Amino acid sequence: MKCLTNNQIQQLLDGETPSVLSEKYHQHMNACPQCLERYHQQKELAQSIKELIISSARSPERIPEFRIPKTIIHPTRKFRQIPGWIKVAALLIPVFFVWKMSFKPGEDFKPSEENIRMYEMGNSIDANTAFQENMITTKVINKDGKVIKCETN
Amino acid sequence: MKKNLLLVLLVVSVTVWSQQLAPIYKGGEIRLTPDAEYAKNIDWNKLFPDYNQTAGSRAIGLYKQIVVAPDGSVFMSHRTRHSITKFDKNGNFMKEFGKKGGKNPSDFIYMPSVEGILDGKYLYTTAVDGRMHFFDLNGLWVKTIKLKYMPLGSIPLKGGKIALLGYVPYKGEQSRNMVSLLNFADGKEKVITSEFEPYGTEKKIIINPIMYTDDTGKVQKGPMISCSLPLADPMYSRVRLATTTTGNLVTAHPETGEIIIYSPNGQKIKQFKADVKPDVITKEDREGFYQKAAKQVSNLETDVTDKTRNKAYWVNYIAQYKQQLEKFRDPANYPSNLPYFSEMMVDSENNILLFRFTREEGSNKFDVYTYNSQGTKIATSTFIADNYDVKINPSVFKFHNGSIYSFVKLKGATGNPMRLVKFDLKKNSNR
Repeated sequence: MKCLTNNQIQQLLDGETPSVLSEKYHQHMNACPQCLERYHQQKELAQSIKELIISSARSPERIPEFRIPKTIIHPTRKFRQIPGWIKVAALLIPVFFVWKMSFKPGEDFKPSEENIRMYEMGNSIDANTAFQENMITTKVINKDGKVIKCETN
Repeated sequence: MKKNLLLVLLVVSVTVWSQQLAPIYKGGEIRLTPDAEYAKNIDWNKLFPDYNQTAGSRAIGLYKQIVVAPDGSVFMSHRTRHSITKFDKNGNFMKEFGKKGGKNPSDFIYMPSVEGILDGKYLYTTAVDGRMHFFDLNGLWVKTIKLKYMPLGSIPLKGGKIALLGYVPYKGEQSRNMVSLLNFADGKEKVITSEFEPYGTEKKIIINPIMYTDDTGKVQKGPMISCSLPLADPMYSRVRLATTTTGNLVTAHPETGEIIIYSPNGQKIKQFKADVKPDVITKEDREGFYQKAAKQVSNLETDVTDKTRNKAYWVNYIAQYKQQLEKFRDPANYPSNLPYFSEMMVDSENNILLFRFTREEGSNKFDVYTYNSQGTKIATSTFIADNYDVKINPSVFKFHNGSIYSFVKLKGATGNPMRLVKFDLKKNSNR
């Protein structure tokens, strides 16, 4: 019989070798000191691995916690940390818009051409206008009846 | 004793001073004599570069308004720009202030008219959109009050009150003409008198829409055009406002000759009717109007040549106008008489002046009826301005300390004829 391979020895150690072959292997090792030596070496290695696994299971390695730096800042401190110009801008921008809205001239009645002429007439009539200047007002009226041009000569 | 003597002297001097103008009125003809020292170094071209500016047919460069401050400085507004000019008491240009805009409350959206000085402190302006701007006498903006209507006139009283002649369109084809008192402090108003005026009652010539072929060969429909007849403008009959040195309001109704004096709070103090006979509109007057209109149409006819744009339109326009020319002759198209007066003013000594309409073209002679504040007639006089075309309208004719400040046209001027002149009133010695 040939010498045992490492695989055959491992199968023997793991109890995976059929009993007929197992007896043959043991007979060979009794006659072959090299195979017997390798058998013991592999058996020791397997035993040490087994012990390591068992000991690891008993006291598993502790994974260190992630230590994320965490600073608790008080809200007041937080406000103080905002740059001064941002605070001023934050205050002034709404104030500016409120001011602009409040003081914006209202959208009131838009004087028509006729209104403007009427307004100007107050300053136009004088002692000469009745007979001398013969003031005549000409109005141009569109199809909707709206005065689009109004002039006094 | 000394105190009493001083008091008597003061009363006498005030009385004597307060009677400076009345004796002049009694003299009949009064010559408006320009103060040669006033505004003598002014470069008028620089000051009134807009004198020949027009907008359509309106000579807007000639439309200006003035007010005189207690210290004699003059503020002037222009129909050509959104600013106000200030002159010192000697008529020298001082500054120009105000700008066109709408974002800032001090901006003028529409061109402003200076209207008065309130309580000696605030210059104020009005505009067609109802905005009233208040400035201090250095031109710094103080306040803006927005009226809900168009003011057709105003006058500052005392104690922060301003009298306004308001025009408020109403439903039912009419408008409300009202006199109200505005309180500067809070912007509130108190209406003291009002009347309704129907729309569109003025007599006119109507040019119906004309279908015509324009220069590009396209058939167009022209607009409708209306031309009012002379004396048809409602402004002739609207109430006139003036103020006394004590801050009372004087209203005068051109259609009735009724004069009412109110306190600054609107209480009626005095009412009387001017014993003026309004001028009758004669057949000759109507014929004069007809001839002028006929001449204008004739001029238009001459202007319309083959080169005129849209000639077909203008030919039809002239034809329609000619067909209605007779309206100028028809007495039914005129009131039976003119208003009782063209303008009412109160001088710096609280005399009330009612100006007659003039008939003599280019004469610059203005008949005026004067009354004291009690309604007693002082005289019938004639103002004569020899070298100037004077406009008898309170917007450009202001009494101040016995003088008259006026924006006038110098007759026969080469170049820019417009002037700001301070007139003294003198009895006519050329009679």
